[in-house]
Amino acid sequence: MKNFLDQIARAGVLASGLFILLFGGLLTFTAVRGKVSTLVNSKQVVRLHNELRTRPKDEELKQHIRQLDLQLRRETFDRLNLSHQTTRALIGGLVVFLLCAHRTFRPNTPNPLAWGARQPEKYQLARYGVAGIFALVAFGALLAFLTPVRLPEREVVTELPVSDEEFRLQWPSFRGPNGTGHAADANLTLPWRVVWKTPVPTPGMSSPIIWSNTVFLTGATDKEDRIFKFDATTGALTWSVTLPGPKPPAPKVTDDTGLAAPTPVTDGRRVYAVFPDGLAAAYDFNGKLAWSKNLGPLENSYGYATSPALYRDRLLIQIDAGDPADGQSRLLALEARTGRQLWEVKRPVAGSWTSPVIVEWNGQAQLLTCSAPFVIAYNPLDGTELWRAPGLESDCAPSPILAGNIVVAVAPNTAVIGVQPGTTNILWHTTDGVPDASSPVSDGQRCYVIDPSGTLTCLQLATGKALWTHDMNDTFYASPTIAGRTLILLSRKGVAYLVEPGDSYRELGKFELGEKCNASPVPRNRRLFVRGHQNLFCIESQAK
Amino acid sequence: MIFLAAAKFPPPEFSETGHQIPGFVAPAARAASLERLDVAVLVLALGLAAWLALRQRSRRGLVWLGIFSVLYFGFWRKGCICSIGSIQNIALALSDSSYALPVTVIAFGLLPLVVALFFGRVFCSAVCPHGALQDLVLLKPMKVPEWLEHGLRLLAYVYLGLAVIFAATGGGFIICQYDPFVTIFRLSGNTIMVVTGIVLLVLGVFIGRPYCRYLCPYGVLLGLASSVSKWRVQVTPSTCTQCRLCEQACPFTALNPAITAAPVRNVKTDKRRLAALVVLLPVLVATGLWLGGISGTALARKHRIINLAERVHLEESGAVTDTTDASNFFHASGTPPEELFAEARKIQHRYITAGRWAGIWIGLVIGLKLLSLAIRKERPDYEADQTRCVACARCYRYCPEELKRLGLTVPE
Repeated sequence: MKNFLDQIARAGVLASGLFILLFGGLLTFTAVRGKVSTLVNSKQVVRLHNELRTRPKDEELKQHIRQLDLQLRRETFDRLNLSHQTTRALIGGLVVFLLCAHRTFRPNTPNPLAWGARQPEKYQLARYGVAGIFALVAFGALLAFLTPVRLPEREVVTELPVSDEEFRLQWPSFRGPNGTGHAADANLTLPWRVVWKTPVPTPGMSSPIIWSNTVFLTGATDKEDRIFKFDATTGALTWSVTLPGPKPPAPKVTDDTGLAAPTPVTDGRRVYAVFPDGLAAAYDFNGKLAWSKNLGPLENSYGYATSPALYRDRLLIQIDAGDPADGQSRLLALEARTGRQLWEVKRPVAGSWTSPVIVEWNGQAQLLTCSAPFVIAYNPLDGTELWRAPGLESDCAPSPILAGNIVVAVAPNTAVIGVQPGTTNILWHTTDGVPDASSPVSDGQRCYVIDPSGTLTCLQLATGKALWTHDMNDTFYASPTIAGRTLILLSRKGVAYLVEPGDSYRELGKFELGEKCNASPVPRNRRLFVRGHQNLFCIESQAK
Repeated sequence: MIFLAAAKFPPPEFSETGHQIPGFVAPAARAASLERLDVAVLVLALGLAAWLALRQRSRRGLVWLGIFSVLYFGFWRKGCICSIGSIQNIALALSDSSYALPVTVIAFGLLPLVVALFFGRVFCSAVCPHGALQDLVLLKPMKVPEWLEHGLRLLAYVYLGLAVIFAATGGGFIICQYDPFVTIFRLSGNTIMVVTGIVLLVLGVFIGRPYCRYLCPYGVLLGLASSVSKWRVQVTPSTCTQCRLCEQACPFTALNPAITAAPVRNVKTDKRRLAALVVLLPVLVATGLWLGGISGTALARKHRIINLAERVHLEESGAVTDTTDASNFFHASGTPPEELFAEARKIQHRYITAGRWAGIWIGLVIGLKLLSLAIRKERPDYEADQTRCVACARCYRYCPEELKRLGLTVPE
């Protein structure tokens, strides 16, 4: 019986050994011999894709690509399946080999008498062995030397970042170049007329931004994120682009926030947009993609609504989420030209819907942010925190402004506070006319805020004392804007109320847009750009 | 760079069917508690291995511990996390401050080395799943000729140098990429690596631990650490009787025989040889420096940026007429090629520098090896080689003194 088992084991060793040798050899030969064409490396697919670029509307070609795609996809998965099966078969063969070998092979019994006298070690041969390895390594290195990577020596043409002066002359971001919503050189005296209105193909709550004769907007659905470029003079839609996929799943948002609440930003070279599904992208003014990236899911209970800011060559994105202790809130900077991440800092704050603004204080550019419980200023170059002041609570949505020497921030439905920049000093604190979504605006002496019930309150900037209040009998999400000597309040119904800034309430008139509106208006000289729920409007002052 | 983030496997182009392409789903990170469990298991296994190998002198205990390690670190943890691969994480973290090195990886990288400083390579004996697996399949050990053994063992030093270069320069983790046993632990993987793993195991039936001896880069570090260990494997528990029974006990050629009588030698020739090898040492180091530098430019090809830059350059110069997905995406990104070339050149310089260091390392190792072969030592007893011994405890039972200690019958 024992002999029989031994014979079986020996046969098993032989058979499984042969199986491993032949099957393994065949597999290796197949793997080494030919580069298998897959969907990833198929030259045919690449060639056809290149052809499709020149003939984008060739349906026959598209059909051909689809067929090839399906075929290669099937082959790839079949091959993967086969590979898994053959691996298991080989490992099975190995197990059989080892089991049989365990019975067949036994270590030799030591028998020094049979070994004879010990021979001295042959170091001469060992030296040859070592030298052989050195020769092998040297040969490999020389082979590598014969196939070097040669790269051309060409100078990099550097792009100058946008200058602060150039930036200030435009309306390049949410509520203007420094986020105040104040255009001193605009003149929007009544009467007004609609110069043009253009349908916006995709919905969104983001506000327009303007660079020279160009207006940008964003829009999104659960299937696509889009950026639109309009001609500011004619209203013509110059181009629209859909961010490259794959599109992440649309986050859960409220109807009031939507899927495109963040306003884009531009530096005159490219337009940069961030969407609540986490996609961010930059396109040049011809609609060509500069870069795109996925920032990950932007968790937010009502839907992400924070607009990005831009400082010189960097795009600054504030992502606030959760509770301060969660450590989820962060601020990151991307290189505007490439989208490369330059830095990221954690923020000790709760989720918010505010937008960061670039201000200048004490000769230094600062990125002003607010979210419960802090107003925090950062160095936009490296993300270092410059100062912070407490005093905020609840779900912060209104963005801060720097007016004169005071930062005005809002804790929705709780308080409006005046903070001395660079310190923790809360200069004043008022519960009058506290907004929930719209941001404050200032004429330099006073600060105007509008609460959810439609009460407009004028606060003295230096003290926070309410100078007057007025019930507008309307509701507002758009932030108030000052154009020259006119305070513009755009209601959700689409009525623009014009008020003269001053120590008492004086209504100058109103203008009905005829369309619901949540986005903040953009004043440029004698024109006002307004995004309604369906259309982009250009309104012009007719006053002489 | 965004063009390098293009999907490795593009989604199907069947938009008209209304198929919803699922979004990216990142696998959840391994729970911190499980990571701590891995470290705790490692610590316990190292302690147990040291106790079994040095104190209990129990081969049977080590076999069971080896089976456990193969099951836990191998088949259950799928060969990852692994101390061998951790060298690369540490090398990358040392060269790139933005790379976050997990504490678990540090623990797996350093704990076996720290233990080796005191107790020798007990990690190799039965804790490393790669070593344990090879140890379990060793059934009919055969001797590798001494001269070949000396040469082949240097391959591990070369592999270590290359692994550190590629990891530190961002070129990839080649130890993981070419790990022959991970495919077996995972029961799937690259065909060539599956076959390599199986060939090594079949070979391992006759040649003890071929991967550990001739390729394992971590074994090099463990060997160096082990060379100063205070507590070490001793074949005999008491006095060596020079019975020679253990002479062929070690399947890993890690047992140095007793050399009591000085071999017949030509002292003058030996001295000359030694002097020549001392002179040769800096020459070998300089040669390594030169060879490492010149091969660095080609090794850089493994880096994806360099690869792309070379491709773009070939397309621009007309040397190739087709394009690739990566180059198409790069062109579509609008990034000027000059920037890509500039970045690639920077990376290439890093490779050249790293290649030089690796060349110095290899030159030094080979030079010192030659020197060590030229120096004779006298040894009164048979003793385990500190750098090579993997503390498998096979040799104990060959020693009659050990049998006496255990109260067993000593064969005539």
